[in-house]
Amino acid sequence: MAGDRRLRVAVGLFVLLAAASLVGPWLRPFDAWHTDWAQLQIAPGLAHGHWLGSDAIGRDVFVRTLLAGRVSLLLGFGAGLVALLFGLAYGALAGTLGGGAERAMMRALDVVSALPFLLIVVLLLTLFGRSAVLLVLAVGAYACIDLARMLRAEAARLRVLPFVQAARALGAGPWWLLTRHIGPNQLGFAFVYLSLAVPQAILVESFLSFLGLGLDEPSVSLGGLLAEGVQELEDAPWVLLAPATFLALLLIAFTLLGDALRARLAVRSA
Amino acid sequence: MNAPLLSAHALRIGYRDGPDVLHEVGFDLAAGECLAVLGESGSGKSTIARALIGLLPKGTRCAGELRFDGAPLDAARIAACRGRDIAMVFQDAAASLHPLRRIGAQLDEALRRAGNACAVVAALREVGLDDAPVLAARYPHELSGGQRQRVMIALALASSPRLLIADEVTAALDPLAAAGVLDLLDRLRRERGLSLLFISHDLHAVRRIADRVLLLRAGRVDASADRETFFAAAPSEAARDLLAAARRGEAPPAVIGEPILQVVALQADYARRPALREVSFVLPRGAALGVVGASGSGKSTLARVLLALQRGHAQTLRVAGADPFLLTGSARKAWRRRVQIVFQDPGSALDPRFSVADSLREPLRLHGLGDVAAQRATVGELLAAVRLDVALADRRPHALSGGQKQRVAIARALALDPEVLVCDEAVSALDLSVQAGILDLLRDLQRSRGLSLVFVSHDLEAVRALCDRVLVLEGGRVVEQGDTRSVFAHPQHAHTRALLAASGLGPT
Repeated sequence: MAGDRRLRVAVGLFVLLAAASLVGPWLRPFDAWHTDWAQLQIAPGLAHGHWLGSDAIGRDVFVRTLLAGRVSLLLGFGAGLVALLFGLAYGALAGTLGGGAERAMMRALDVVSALPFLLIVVLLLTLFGRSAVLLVLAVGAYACIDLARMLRAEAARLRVLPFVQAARALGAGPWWLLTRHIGPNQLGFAFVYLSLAVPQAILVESFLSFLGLGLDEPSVSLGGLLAEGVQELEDAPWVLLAPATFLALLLIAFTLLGDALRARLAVRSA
Repeated sequence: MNAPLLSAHALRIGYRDGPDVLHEVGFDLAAGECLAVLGESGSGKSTIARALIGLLPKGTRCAGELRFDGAPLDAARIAACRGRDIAMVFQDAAASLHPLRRIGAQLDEALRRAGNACAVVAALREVGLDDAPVLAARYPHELSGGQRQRVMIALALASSPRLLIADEVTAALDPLAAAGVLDLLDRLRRERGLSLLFISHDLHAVRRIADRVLLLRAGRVDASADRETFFAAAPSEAARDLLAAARRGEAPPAVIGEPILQVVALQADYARRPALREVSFVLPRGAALGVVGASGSGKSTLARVLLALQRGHAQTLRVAGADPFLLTGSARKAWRRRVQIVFQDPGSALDPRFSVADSLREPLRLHGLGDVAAQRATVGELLAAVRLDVALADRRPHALSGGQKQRVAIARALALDPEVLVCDEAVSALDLSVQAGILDLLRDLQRSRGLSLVFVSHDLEAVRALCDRVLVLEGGRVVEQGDTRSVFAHPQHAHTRALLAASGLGPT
């Protein structure tokens, strides 16, 4: 089936990138902060050991890109999980309750999503310092708004189905409906959305890091590397190209994964 | 006899990787004739229709010969004829119309393509929509189901076809609307000399419209006869079974006893419009009440209000000894044990993630009845009560047939040993032979457990077979009620007479 092939390609690409970012840095004798004074800004090549070249102060681009990929993936998954937990809880609860409670909860969400999110994140990061936890929470909160909306709609669709109505007639309250019927039946839908929320989180985190609002040195994420690469664009384009390519591949892998999962889900529910 | 307009010979079709769904099927259809293809779900009826208009999925194995108008009907000819000489109308008119374009514009497009512009009003009039100028300006969702189906027929007729394939066109309509559509098809056949391939599982519709009947069973032609022979002589065993399943017997005698349902001046809304007005009735314990009416008459709203799944206001409301809207918290939960409901659609009646045993244990767990071992024992008893094999307990819904799912839904409703069981179109989505089994089951349960039944249905035959009294709703009002025998024999209200006539049950 075409959908299965797409899923295999997507999973393959994703596993490759994840494995590279986990194992890759150990393949080389350099650490990410090691300065190779003999080889500043050297072009990619195999002979001198810097497979993807080095930057202006002689750090290995290959190792730095993969390490940054690891950081970006972790932050992305962290934020995605935060979004999933809060979005699922909030959206499913609103959709299960229905009526006035549902309307009030969704209007509250509208208010939150009308706030200038990036401004608030910038403010938080400057006020409380730039920590990984805060970054994950902030980006997760951003992604969770859309997720909550979609899961609310899905829960409202499930709520009127006969098996949920039958459970109500048997005496089930909202909590029972939420935890036994509506929540579990939304999981497939939620995981499809997770595969869309994680790349979104990675992208937002990269954007913040690019602006210098990401993690403090010496930790570095893909966005931070992009910012460094732009500085050396004219003399050493590989310093930009390596992390940019990695980020692009990562986002493509997630998009394919989301597509394939969605196709799978559509087939199953049909 | 002239050469037939359409003929099929030794048709054999199988979907990719699956076994053949049609085996050596052959038939002839003469010009101006109506051939009904009758069969239960999975018998291969719709596959024939799809083959005729080239809508079989890729990778389908197809052998045998189709001829149309004297020449072979191959893929290229199908593409040329489809939407011209051969047109088709489907079951689901709502999904077949563009939801965001006005009826007139959609019909105009079809007529223009056929080189017949500016005839929208005439085309709508021809299908019996007399208010054509008004309807043409409406969107599909503003029309009733019967009106939409008529528009679909007008669209199909735009190209002046010679063969019209009607695939379950009346299945989604209430009996009044269905009777109207059947009369329309019959008139078009006479006036236009149209040939009609009428695919249906509805014995009553087939009896009303067909010249000849082709009975399919598991992809084979089981019987082929003209209408009179088919219905009078039942040329095969399957035909006999089918006709027997349709004959559901006479209404039981009226039950007398203390009232278990007492409703006085009940009002309720549906989608912010009044759906029930001043509905009053009384049901004695152990009796069965049939609630009948056209679509939108408020039948389902009544069922939901009796279960307190939806708000309603009444002067007096006593359901199994209490007014549910005055109960709160644990008192409401305790009351729910006494009243249960079974819905129409078996496909979504059970949580797809629950096994049969999980679904049946749910009510017991909700009310904290028994430990796991006791609950498993109850599951066995419940399955036996609805005549299902205990081996099904570990299956999930997707591995059950429609009838089996509906039996599990009934078993779940019985788990708390209720006094009142409300069935909202509980057999309407099932095949005729399966319906007969479920009706039997309900009748037995009613007797053995002393259940009081509220049976909401548009199927008057089923109501007559099961219910000792009947309530006729029109536009949310009760227009007639009484014991089934006398209402069916001497209907007082015009609407009751119309419903009975549409079901072929009118007083003779």
